[in-house]
Amino acid sequence: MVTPNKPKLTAEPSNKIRRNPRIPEGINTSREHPLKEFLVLVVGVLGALILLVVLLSVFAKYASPYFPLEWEPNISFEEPLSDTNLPAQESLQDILNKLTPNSIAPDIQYKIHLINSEVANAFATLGGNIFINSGLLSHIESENGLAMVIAHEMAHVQLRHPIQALSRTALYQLVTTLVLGDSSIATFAGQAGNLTLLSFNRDMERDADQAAINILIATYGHGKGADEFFKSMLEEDRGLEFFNTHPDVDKRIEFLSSDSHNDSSNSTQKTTQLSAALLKLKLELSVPIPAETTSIIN
Amino acid sequence: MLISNIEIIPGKRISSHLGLVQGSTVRAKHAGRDIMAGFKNLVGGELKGYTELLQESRQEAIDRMSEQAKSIGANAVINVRFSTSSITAGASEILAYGTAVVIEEK
Amino acid sequence: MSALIQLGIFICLLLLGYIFGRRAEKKHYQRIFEGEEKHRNIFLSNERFPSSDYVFHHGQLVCGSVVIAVDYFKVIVAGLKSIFGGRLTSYESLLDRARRESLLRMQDQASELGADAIINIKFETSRISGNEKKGIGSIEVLAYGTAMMNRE
Repeated sequence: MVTPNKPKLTAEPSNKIRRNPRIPEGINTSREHPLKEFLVLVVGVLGALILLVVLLSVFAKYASPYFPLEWEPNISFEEPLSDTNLPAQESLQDILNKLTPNSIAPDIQYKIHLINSEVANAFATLGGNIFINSGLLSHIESENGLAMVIAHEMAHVQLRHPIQALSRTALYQLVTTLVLGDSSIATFAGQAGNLTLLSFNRDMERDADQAAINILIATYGHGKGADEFFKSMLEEDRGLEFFNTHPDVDKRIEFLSSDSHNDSSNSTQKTTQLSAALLKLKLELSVPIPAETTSIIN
Repeated sequence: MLISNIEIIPGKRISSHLGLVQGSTVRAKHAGRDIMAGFKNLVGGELKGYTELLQESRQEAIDRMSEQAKSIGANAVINVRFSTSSITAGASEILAYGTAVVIEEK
Repeated sequence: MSALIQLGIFICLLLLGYIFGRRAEKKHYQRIFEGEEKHRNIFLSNERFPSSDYVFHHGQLVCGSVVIAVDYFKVIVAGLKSIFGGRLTSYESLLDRARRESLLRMQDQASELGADAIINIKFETSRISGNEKKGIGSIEVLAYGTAMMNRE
């Protein structure tokens, strides 16, 4: 005799067999499909992160003019060639002096440094410091090409991009660490934030390109030779634009050589030659020379 | 649904025992509470946010246990016990379990 | 590009965790339903003093425990949910499975002894291993009680 598992309202007879009741599912668990919950969460979190980045960028852009350039810490690097190669440093300073009066903020104190590095790069840091890598010289032919790079970095300094980028990144890290702690989600959030910040970086680069070409035209009268560096960088594979800090090289060349910047029919527009000191440095760097034979070049 | 921590419900007679019922819930605090707790770690004092959170979780566990009991036809749960354990950082499970019974007037 | 690679690995792990985790959970629940049917005659209760039915029985401690590991998908969903707070449904199903499995194992042990009921059941839940930072680990649930066996 098996007692069914129905509730009894009267006293049970003894020596009956008690059975465990069948308890319905879904009370201690949820019937919702896990993927649906996951998608909702991911969309929510990504949306919140992107919103945070946008807010921080807007804040940085509008707050940076109130932070005087003189207050920025003076970030400089080791081993500049400027100490050992004084003529090259002087040439760089000359180009800088030529460009400064035509820039948006002519009274900023720029400091330009030459760095001994094979990598073709140039950057601006806090405090109005501009660094040019010696490896850059093998990618440009004329003074105009070099001036474009210098003017581009000057534009970054004028538009206060270094302090904006730094404060944005720092604030973003701060907020995500406060909210997410140290979990695996935190690394994911960091990456998502980086990718969003990159698109703002690309906007800053575009603005710097625009300001730089204007400085160049004001100084030399034309924009010829400005795209020398970018043309020589075309061979390098930079990957998808979405993952890059700079806009596509093709698009930058297109912008610089557009009709408003470059009157290709006007043959009187000529690029200026590099100074003797810079040409010498360029030669030195393009051919690896063992120390004993330097006297032949001299 | 009467909940009792002892073997009997005082003043009533248990007419049948239906079986073991459990209610559990896993809850996490949200980021805001975490930040406040971080500050409280500096100055000390009661973490009201967490107290509230755990009270709500316990109530929910009891509610689920009652739901299970009701679904098998019981009208009281006796011998209720609690068990709390931490599952991961920031989330803890509260389990309430007892025996579902049918009671009637003495 | 390293961001892309990291993202790719992350999605792969998530998919792995989701597919295998769901499959394991489904299979486990099937086994749990079968086990609960099989042991429906071994009555479970957490009362301390046995009713008059069991006066002539003798008792023996029985226990059942299980350790179930969390899969990556569950960890990530729980991590995201804990930003906003609320029920972590991914862990709730895990604990439900573990509890019911431990009850079944306890009933297995009791049926070997020839018992027809288990009284004074208590649960213990704890977290085993698992890196605090990553949150991946496993849950152990122990269920123990006194099995009542007929003296004959």
